[in-house]
Amino acid sequence: MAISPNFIKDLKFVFDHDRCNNAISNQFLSDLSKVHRMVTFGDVKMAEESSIDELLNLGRQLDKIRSYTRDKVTEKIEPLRKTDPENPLFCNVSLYAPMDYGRLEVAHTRTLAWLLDPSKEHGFGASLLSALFPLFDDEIAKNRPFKIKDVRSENLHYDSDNEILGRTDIWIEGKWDDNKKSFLIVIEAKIDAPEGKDQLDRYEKAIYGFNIEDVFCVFLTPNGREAEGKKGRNWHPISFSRIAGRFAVVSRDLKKAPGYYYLRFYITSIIRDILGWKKIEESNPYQLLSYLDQMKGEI
Amino acid sequence: MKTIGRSLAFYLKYLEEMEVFYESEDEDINEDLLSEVSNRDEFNEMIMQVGKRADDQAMALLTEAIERVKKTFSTDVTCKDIRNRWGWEKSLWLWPKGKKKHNPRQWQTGISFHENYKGHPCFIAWVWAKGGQRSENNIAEILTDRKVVARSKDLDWNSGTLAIGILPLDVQNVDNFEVNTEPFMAEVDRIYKEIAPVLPKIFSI
Repeated sequence: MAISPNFIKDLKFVFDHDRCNNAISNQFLSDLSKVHRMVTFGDVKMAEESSIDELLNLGRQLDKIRSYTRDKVTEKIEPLRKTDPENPLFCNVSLYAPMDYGRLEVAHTRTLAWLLDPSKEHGFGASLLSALFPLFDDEIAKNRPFKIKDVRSENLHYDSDNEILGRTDIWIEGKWDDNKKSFLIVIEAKIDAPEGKDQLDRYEKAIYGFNIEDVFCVFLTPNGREAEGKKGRNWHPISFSRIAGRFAVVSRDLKKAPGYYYLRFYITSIIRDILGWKKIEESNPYQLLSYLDQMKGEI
Repeated sequence: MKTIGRSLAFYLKYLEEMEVFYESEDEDINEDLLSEVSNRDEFNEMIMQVGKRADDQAMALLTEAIERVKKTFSTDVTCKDIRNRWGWEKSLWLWPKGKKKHNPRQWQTGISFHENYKGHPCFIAWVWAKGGQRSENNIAEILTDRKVVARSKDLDWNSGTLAIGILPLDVQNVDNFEVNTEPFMAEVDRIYKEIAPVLPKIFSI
């Protein structure tokens, strides 16, 4: 892929002769094309297209992975159908579909805030909130008893100059029982829309203005993608399929609670409306496997 | 035949897999999935290369499309590029040409990738006007149902946005990953040529 040693000499020749069409060598044109790609893309190797064979080979590997994943899904679904027939995966009633709110962010974030608030009428206590902590992959949050002080949705924040910083979707303040220190969970959910310009930066300003030691920022999306421009920062990318999976596991022990059917229909709304699993056999097998993997987990 | 680029065609064909292996963090990838892969380093390198090329090719496709939009609008409309801030999207600020008193940040159009519109990934052409739902309703009346493919609530996009066309890219039945750009560009031309005559009405709302 190296550029020929004559390139600079050829470039000078072209520069010195403005009527040199017949004198430009193919080698020079090829070099020029490589330089163009290098300048445009920063890397010659990256800019060059893969061959059809290379892509077919990669496609075959991905076909195998897809087939393996589908087999795994089938392997896990059949026993689940027997042991947990009330699992929302087998439910057809979505909480939001009749209202056409299935992909409406605010409907989901308000519902999540309500479900995660132990003081609400659902009777779940802090069960659903406890189910979230293992998703943070953070030792600090594991198996520690806590109390919740406040759960708010669309919490409006201002900076020190009274300028609006934005509204965080879900804001949960609590205290660890063991050391009485405060913690904060902030959830920003995105279903189809992208995050706004500097949105998470502004939220971080608000969050760290509170001087709370243990902060868990969650970026909740259908496929668990990372926040734009936030690689390596503190927003845990979590998918709706993992949340649905965790909630489905916990809901097995909540069947006598007043909010059980509400929760079941809500999880079904995540499954059918956000994740788009209208029919199991047509679902995204990777998200489905991620959901099913939660089923075996201990809370 | 001008093509969209093999990597982009591949990416669209294997969207679910590319989301897992290209877009997810390494630690989030289920190790079991890789048991079918013989050489993981080669596999990962190839995924990264195809993913990055597909990003470039998608943006090149959208850049060409948006240049055609500018050309279609060139007589009556001033267009200004909007800096891309997320994913596969190109968009423009629009305002009436020669108009001295105007708010330049009132109308937009663009083409964006949608991962799952009615169960399929696609590129969507759209228009947006400041003023939320009220503006959206006004534009919908001007464009009539024939030109409006979806409303903001159908896409869960910002209110004020209306989808004016779904752009065709059929990658599922293509074995060699060579997908012709022309039907895509022809549809861009058709959609925006239909919209151009009613833009003065939209600017007057």
